[in-house]
Formats: sequence, C-alpha cells, structure tokens
Amino acid sequence: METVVFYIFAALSVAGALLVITYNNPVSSAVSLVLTLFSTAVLFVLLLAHFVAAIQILVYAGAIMILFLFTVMFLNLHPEALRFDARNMAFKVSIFLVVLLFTGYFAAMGFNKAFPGGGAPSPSPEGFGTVEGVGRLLFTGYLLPFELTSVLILAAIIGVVAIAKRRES
Amino acid sequence: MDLSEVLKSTLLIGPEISLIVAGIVLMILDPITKGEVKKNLFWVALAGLALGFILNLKRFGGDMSAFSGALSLDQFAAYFNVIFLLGAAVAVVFSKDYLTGFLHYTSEFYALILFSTSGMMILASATEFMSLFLGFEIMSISAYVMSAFNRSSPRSTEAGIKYLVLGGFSSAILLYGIALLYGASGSIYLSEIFKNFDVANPLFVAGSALVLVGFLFKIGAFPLHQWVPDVYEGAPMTATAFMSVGVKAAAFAILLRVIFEGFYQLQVSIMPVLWIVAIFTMIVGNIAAITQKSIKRMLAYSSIAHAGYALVGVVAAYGGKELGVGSVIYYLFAYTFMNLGAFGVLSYLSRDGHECETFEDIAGLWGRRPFLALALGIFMFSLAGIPPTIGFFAKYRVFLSAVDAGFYWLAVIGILSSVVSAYYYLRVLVYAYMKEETAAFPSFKIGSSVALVVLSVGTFFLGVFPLDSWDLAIKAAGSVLMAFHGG
Repeated sequence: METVVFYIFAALSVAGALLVITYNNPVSSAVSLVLTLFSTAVLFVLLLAHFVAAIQILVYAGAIMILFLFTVMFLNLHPEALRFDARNMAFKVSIFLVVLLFTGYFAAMGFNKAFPGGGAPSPSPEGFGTVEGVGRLLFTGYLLPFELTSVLILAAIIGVVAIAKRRES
Repeated sequence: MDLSEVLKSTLLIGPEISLIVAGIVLMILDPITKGEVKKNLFWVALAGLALGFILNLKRFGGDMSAFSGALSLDQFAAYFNVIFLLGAAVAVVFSKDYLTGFLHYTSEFYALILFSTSGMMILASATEFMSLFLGFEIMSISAYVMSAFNRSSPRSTEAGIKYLVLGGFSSAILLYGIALLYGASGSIYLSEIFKNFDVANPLFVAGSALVLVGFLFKIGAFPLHQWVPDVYEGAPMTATAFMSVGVKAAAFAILLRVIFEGFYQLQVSIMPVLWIVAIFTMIVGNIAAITQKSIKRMLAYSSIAHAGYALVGVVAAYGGKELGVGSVIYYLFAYTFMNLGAFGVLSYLSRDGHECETFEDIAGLWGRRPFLALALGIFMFSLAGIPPTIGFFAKYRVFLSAVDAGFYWLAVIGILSSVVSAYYYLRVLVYAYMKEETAAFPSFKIGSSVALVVLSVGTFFLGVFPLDSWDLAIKAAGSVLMAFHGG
C-alpha cells in the first residue's frame, strides 16, 4: 500500500516539475509547481514527518506560491514572448551536452553501478519530522545554522530596503 | 549539545559576533542620528572590525572547534580572517570618501560590508555543510546588494541583477551537490564525508563535482568567469574592491578546506580538472585584459588572471603539500594589498558619481598628485609581479611550489602569461606619468590617503621583508592539512 502511494506521488511530483518548464503561460507553470510541492508533502507524510509535511504546504505551496503569482502579475509577461522554440541554438547545445554527459556517465560506470543503493532503507531516527524532533534539533545540534539564518535574513532585509527605498533629495 | 557547550562555543566565535553586532548597532544608530554624527558612523564599523581582528589573533595560538565540530577555528581560518578583516576595513574607509556626495544610505553599505565579512569568516571555518552554505549565502547576498547599490546608474543595477541571477544558479548547484553528498554519506559533516567517501559511488562523485563548481563560480575561474567583468565594472568602485579580494579569498578558503578535509580521495580526478581550469583562467584573463579601454574592466579581467595564479597553487598542493596550500594562502594575502590599493586609487579619483575608469581619467596624475601616482605605481608593479614588491614574492612562491610538485608546464604558462600582464599594468603607468592631464582631480581625502599609505607600505615592505607572514601561511596550511595527513 505504502509503496503504491509512494510511486503515485513520486510520479506526480516529477510530472508537476515537467509541466512547470513546458507551459508557456507563467501562471500555469506556477500552479503546476503546487502539484510538485503537494506531492512532496505527501512523501513526507509517508515518512511520518507530519510537521515537515505541514510546513511544506503552508510555506511553499502557500506563501511562496502567492509571491510567485504576485511577481508574475507585476511583470505583465506576454505568453507569446515566452513561447518555446525547439530550433533555438542554446536548446540544441544543451540537449547535446546532456546526451554526452549521460553517455559518458554510463560508459564510465557501467549500468549496474550507475544506479547504486537498493538494500533496506535505514529507519528514521526517533521523533523524525515531528514538532518535538525538529524543535529539539533546531536548538541543540543545529543551533548555529539556525542563528546564522537570522543573520542571513537580516542582511537580505537591509539590502532590500536600501535598494528599494525612495531616495531623499 | 548542552547549555555549557553552547556558551563555550558562543564565546569562541567572538570575532564573527562582534561584526554582526557592529552591523546591528549601525542600523540602530543610523535613523536616530543626524548631520555630522551620521557621517561619522563608519567608526562603528571600523570599531567592530578592529574588535574582530583582536579577538581573531587569539586563534593563531591553537586549533579549536566550536558547535560540536560545525566550525573549525584553526590557524587556516584565522589567516583568512585577517585577509577578510583587512579588506573590509579598507573598503569601509574608501567608501567613506567615495560614497559621500552621491550615494545615500551609507550606513546600510557599511552594515552590508560587515555582514558579508562575517559570512566569509563563517565560510572559511565551516566544516559542516549547513553552516557552510549559510556563510556562503550571507556573504553572497550582501555582495549582490552592494553591486546594485548605485541606483542612479543602469550599469550598477545590471551588475546587481546579473550577479544575483547567476550567483543564485551557482548556489543552487552547490546546494544540489551538498544534498547528494548528504544522501550518500548520511552526514553533513566534512569529517564524516571524508570517512565514508567511496570513489566507486557515483553520488559522491557527482556531489563533490557540483560542490566544486559552486565554489569555482565564486572564484571566477574559467569557464565560469563570464559574470566577473560585467559585475566588477558596473558595481560601485569600493564594492568591487571589497568583492574582488574578500569573496574570492573566501571561496578559495573553502575550496581548499573541502578538497583536503572532505574529498581528498577524489584528488586524482579533481586535480587534472583544476590543472586545465588554472591554465585557461590565466590565459583568458590576461588576453582579455589587454584589449580593455576601461581600467576598471581591465582590473576585473586581471582579477580573473590572479585567480588563475592562485589555482596553480591549489594544483601544486596535490598530495597534501604544505608548500602548495601555503602559497595559495600567501598569494591571496598579497593580492589583498595590491588589488585593494589599485581600486583604492581609482575610488580616490572618482567623485560625485563620476567613476574614474578610463585611461584618460588618470592621465597626468604624476604632475598633479605625485604621491597618488607613486602609490599607483607600487600597486601596478606588484600586480605585474615585479620585484621587490609583495606581488613578486607571492607569484614566486606559487610557481616555485608548482615546480616543486612537478607541474612544470603549469609554471611555464603561468610565468609567460604574467609577462604578458606586465603590458597592460604598465600601460596604466604610461598614462599616469607621461600623458598630459585631461580631467580635473579631486581634493585631498584624509581617510583614503591613510589607507593608501598603509597598503602601499605593506605592498613594498612585505615584499622586501616577508617577516612572519609567509611562516604563518605555512602553519595555516599545516592546520588545514591535518585531517589529510591523519592528524
């Protein structure tokens, strides 16, 4: 049962990601991203990480997505201008490079070694992805990154204000 | 990690904290002060940097780690911190004279310099990927904003956006690499990745390759150097000066640490790649610099070339050679003096929003401002690697370590391309000393003058008497190679 649910939502999240880059209309792209984010949240639920799943939906599918849509609306993009063109030189070059990379990779590694892993998955640590577990980690093992994040956000806020503030003259 | 360990670790990261606190104090003082007091707020930034410098000196005493091994406060990081703090302090002093008159929000600029510097210091001592990435981002985001700081100039805005978008891509690549390494080893600590590293596992290989690409972007190495000229040319002069020494040195610091503390088993594959990258970086940087009409853009290409010379040292460190690592550290130390000085002279000559960047702008400098011309001469000689300046000794150490490690071609190409570079550095001096003046020069600026005296004396004096700076670089190299040599 779990495996079936996993494969369904894993496939959905990849499909959503593909739709994001194939739609011409940026609003459709942004909404497809919701599909990816929601499917990823379901994968977290399968790991019993309910808190992470809830945050994933609240922050990413909720707040970040609204910001995306706002930005798209402000930019007033014309779908025609964004039309995908397969004759584009850059597109051809990147396809060529991707094929080259993967052929080289499989040639060097051999097919069996190219997909390592398998085996039994290691069990999640106790309290993984719950409010208690995440909170405990934030204030013990990951205290420094947690505090550094606040410095990062402070620097970003100061930067945004300095660039966007109306000039006094 | 219990409370007492948290407190102990917090005390250990005093230098970083003093910079962040100084930045916050600046932002509190800025809105409540007016007039003259507001103009002198840069002293707060300098005080924070000085306090950080003093607290950092203690780290030369011995290697420590903080936050259960997330930060390695060793002599390697301490040496790099000196570079960052020196670069930041000089950038603040130059900015004081440069920004006044045409850019508002100077306090924000100083605060961003402080935050960016704290990010570099975290980055140089990080041994755990989450702190590493956050340090990387604190440094980068502040730098993006600083490049776009001159809003009245479309080029500055373009530089900011270009840097933000491309830098965002490089951060994403770095993060992808970190995720793969975490997936493969189950840990984000460099020491654990080092222990579990398996060359046959493609996740490790792909992860470390992506991580290295992220760092090489910030270094501005070929073929990831395309953003450098545009960003360095568009950004305000002092922001360029700060980025060209600080961000570059920080990226080199973490590159060395990750290679020798994280995935040294991959050295056999990494070093040939870096060998090619180093050669092309030197060639491309030097050839492109020759044709430039703007001094600022020329210095941007020259900074690519200098990244190439430093990469020669990284390759020469193959197999954990102290001489190679030490020469990279020393090279970046030397580069800080001479490059800050070169940009400092240009920012001295810029006024009221007019950037001093073409060759005509400095024509006739010798006749009107002889001391400034003299300083410019010292910096250009040093950048070209002409004795007896610090630039010569740094280059000598790098190429010597390459020869010592058996990379003769690398040294030969390096020396040849550095001969080519003499052409465009000396061309600056031809204009400064032998042409008639075409533009008016600004009046005396006390702060910048003091900073230029310190830098030019340092460039000259450390070239003649390297003193402890070279020995300390070797010791710093020893502390980062400890894990490699099984210490």
